[in-house]
Amino acid sequence: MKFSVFNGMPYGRTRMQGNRWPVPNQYFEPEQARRAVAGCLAEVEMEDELGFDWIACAEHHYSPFNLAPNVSVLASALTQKVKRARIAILGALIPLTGNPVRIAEEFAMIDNLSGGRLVAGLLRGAPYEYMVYNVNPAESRSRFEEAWDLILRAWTDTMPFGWEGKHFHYRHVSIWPRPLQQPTPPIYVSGSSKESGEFAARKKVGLGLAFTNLPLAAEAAAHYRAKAGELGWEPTPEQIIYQLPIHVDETDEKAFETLRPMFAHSALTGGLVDANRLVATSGFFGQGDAKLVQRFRDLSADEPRSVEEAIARGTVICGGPKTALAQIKRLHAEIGCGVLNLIFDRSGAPDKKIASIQLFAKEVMPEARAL
Amino acid sequence: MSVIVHDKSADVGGIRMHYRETGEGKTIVFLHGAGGAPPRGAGFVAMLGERHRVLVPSRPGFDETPAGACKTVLDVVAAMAAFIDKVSGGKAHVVAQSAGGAIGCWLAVLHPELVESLVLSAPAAFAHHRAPAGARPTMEEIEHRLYGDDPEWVAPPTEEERQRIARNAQANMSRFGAPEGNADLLARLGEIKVPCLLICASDDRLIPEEAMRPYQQAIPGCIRIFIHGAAHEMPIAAASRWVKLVADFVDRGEYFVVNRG
Repeated sequence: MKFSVFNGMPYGRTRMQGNRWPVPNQYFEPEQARRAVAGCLAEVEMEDELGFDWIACAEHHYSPFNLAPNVSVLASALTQKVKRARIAILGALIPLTGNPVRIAEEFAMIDNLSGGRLVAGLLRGAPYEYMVYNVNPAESRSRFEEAWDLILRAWTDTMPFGWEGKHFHYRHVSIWPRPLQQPTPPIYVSGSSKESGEFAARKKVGLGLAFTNLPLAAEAAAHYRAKAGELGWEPTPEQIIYQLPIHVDETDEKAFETLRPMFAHSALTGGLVDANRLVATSGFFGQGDAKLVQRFRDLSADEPRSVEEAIARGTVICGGPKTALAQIKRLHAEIGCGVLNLIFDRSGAPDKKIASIQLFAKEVMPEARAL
Repeated sequence: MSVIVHDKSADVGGIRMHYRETGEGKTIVFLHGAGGAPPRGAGFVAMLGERHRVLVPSRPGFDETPAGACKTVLDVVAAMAAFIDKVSGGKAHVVAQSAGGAIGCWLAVLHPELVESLVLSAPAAFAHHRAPAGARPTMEEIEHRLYGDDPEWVAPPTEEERQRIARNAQANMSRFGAPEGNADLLARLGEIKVPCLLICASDDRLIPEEAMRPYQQAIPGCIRIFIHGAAHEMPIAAASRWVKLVADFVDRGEYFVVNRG
């Protein structure tokens, strides 16, 4: 099994009361941002040295949760700090920008900058992201598939071409550089919905499962594998990524106590829940995804209320090293994931986060690799 | 805007050639594919005719036009050159679909004085996908391969038209449309000097993508563009986008590549 650390360059807490989305940028404080950037770049160097397989980042908007609205900019910086691990962009939200060729160019450039270590996540994004650039969520699937085809062609077609799509239009495309990894870097799509799993199976690419839970992820992974089987191929374990928060401490008790405040007050309230509900019920999901639509009608209702419940539902890994290892084994067994993309930020305190990363790398990762 | 399509005929090189005509403006000669003249319910002829004069001849051996003395591709090319010279007024923008592609290329090679520009739309001069082994495909399956999931028909083809298309394809593919008959053309593509646009269907299930490469590689300045999600018969499968590209290329020539807002 492989291990990825998600590092989206989080800003940390703001002075804002409650949860709103978009988060008003009146709360942006330059000195805190400076520390966040420096902290992120120092952390990824450490994570690389500790032996994590991937250092991951992602595109998110209008929130201090993740200071990477253009994930290519962050990934470029990571290439200069991370010398060994893969740089995993998980990912870029390709239906949102009006220019998929730009994404193809930037990813190819990052693959070159990293010496061929890019992992390319080409995602649709969470429902609320469709408010960011005012994109019709009912066009999400169609824009995603067209952007996908265009990016793949831009990476692999060796002669100039033009493109007359329903959403994107070009008269000349011939990108320089092309990706260093030929024909393409490893590619992943997000796959919580049935349609996404089928798409990944059809395109023979990997599947990333995030912002979900163990039963839903296991169902989505099984659907993906079944569809791949129908098409005559079998995904490798590494082609299924599961993402979730983690906190490891010396003992279960210490770890649980650190994370309890995370569940004391729902993080999923106010604007973000509303934004997700509005978009998810506006045609974002396909016909066969009633369960997902229902879940996004009220994400806070679906949220675990305790550490224990979150562990049971597979939405967090928490405990001492042995307990964490047991939870990882369970995720691996039930989802069949070969990569865990781990979010270490939820403890709230930078020193606890660093300690958790180091402890995980030392006490959990070596044994878990054998899975 | 309502555009009326007229049925006409002309004596060309000893052959009574039937054709459709509509519109005014720069003259476009549309060279049809293996099925002959497009079904009446294909809207692209009228769409192109809103700003252009469009001529849609049925080549020798297709539809109502007798084969006459035409026995080879080059015989047909000579007949079509005579048609352009006589009916279009000496020069035309040639738009060639599928099996019409070889004729369009030969016209540009042998009669450059008659060809203002050349649009190759899923040209089929050099290779076809092999038909899958097993049972012969049904008419519905063939039409799905040709027109895709969401064709832009004004009205779908009648049963009589379907039979006409099948008759045309059976009678003429071996005579004028077989890829092996075009080996000489491949060597001469580089002689094409007129502006050339190659339109490819991203979901073409009849012509493999590799078979499109020779045109772009050999024809100087040839521009290749994909219509995303379109099936082989793009004038019907993706009529609006196809007409937009063709009209823009005919109208703007080398400025086609520049966004005009």
